[in-house]
Amino acid sequence: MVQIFPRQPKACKILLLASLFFSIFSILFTQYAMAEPIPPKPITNLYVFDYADLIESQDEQAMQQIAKAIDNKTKAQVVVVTVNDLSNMEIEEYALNLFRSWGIGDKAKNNGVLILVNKASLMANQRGRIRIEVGYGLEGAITDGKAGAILDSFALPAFEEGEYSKGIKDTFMAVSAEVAKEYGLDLEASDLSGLEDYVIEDESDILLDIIIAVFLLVLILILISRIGKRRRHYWGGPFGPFGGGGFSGGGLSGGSFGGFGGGGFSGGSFGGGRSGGGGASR
Amino acid sequence: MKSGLKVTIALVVIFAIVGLFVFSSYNGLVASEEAVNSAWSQVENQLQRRSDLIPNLVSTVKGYAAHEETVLTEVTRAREKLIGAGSVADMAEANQELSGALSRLLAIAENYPELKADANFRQLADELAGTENRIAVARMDYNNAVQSYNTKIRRFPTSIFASMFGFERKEYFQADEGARQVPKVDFGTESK
Repeated sequence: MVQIFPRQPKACKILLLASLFFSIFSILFTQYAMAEPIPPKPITNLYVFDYADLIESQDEQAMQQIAKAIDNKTKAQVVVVTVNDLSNMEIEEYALNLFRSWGIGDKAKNNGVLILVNKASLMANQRGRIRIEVGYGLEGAITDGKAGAILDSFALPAFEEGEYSKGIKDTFMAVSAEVAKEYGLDLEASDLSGLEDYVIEDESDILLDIIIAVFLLVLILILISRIGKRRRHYWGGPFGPFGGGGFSGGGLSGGSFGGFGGGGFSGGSFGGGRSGGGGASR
Repeated sequence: MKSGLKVTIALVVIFAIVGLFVFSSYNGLVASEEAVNSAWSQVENQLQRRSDLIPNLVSTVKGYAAHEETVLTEVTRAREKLIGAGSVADMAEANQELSGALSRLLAIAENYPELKADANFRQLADELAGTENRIAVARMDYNNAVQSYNTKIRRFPTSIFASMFGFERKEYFQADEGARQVPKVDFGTESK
């Protein structure tokens, strides 16, 4: 075996070391210079990442609780991120990159939703304030049209009043309600309390409700007229205090959540889901 | 005799190594090509979806802004051109035209407040904007898959047998650099 490298003089060794050092340094330097404009993927999924400090703590806790409940039950992850600016990207591009880099939603089901809020556009009242980015798997439940409608109904009116935290929270709740509906979750469960207020009735549901109501009304009138002919009898019966029955109400004790970060909330992890660019922005 | 046996063994080993290499490279190329095909079908999917949304949009806009003939015709014509496009390059160009015509159509909403307020129009505009975005994403994914595949078949030594097995270079789905930025509509406040 021929020795390929004969014993090297000192100068060569120094040169070799120097070039090695330089290449390592330049690699590190370029990594630093091209710092990621998107926030790096957090180690734990806390569901709400308020980098721009727009969200109030009670709203944040409410959102986290519901997001975690939905994640536990369905592996669908609804994540809220607020940022100060978009590093010269369009909000669609930014949202997509963040979504894919963090991997929101289950890897197999792709059931993630990202709600991204850009403080700079919000303050300037320009396009790019907020985007709902929907993973491949939930595009049927949250269509582009629906996402836009949610933003129009919940986000924009609040934003116009300067109520940023409320707007974000309401948007989140509306999105979560859609996700919960998609998976047939029971909205009366205590850990999902509050969601039932945000369910947007589909037109077909309303029609059905109207038909049922009319039918019942007619039934009541018939029965009353029959009874009235016999004797005066106050007819209370099952139609007494309406809604007294099944609604045990949002009996959630707020006490289980201490200050945020003080060990009250433990997050999960990101599922690795992907988005295809679906959703809507305002 | 012994040296003859040694040579034979050496040759067999060499052939085995080469064979193994070709075998794994081939499978890698197959996987890569399939990734390209699947990414392409996603592109076509989204293009089709947009194509389906357009007639509805055109008629809604006509209801409010009938004399905006030029833009409406542009959109319809561009859509037909895309449907008729053959090669990837043609499709890319037609797609660019259609995106431009559509954004001009949506921008019309700024001049017709009743149109902008129409719930149907807003939903359609959202669906279209969503689909445009999806097309952009699908295009990006496709081009990434093509890049990965093309690099593989051009690399030495894979390039030697790539064309032998029928692996050809694929085209990128690319538009003119100049016409990239498509103006977007703001459905936010009325105070614009």
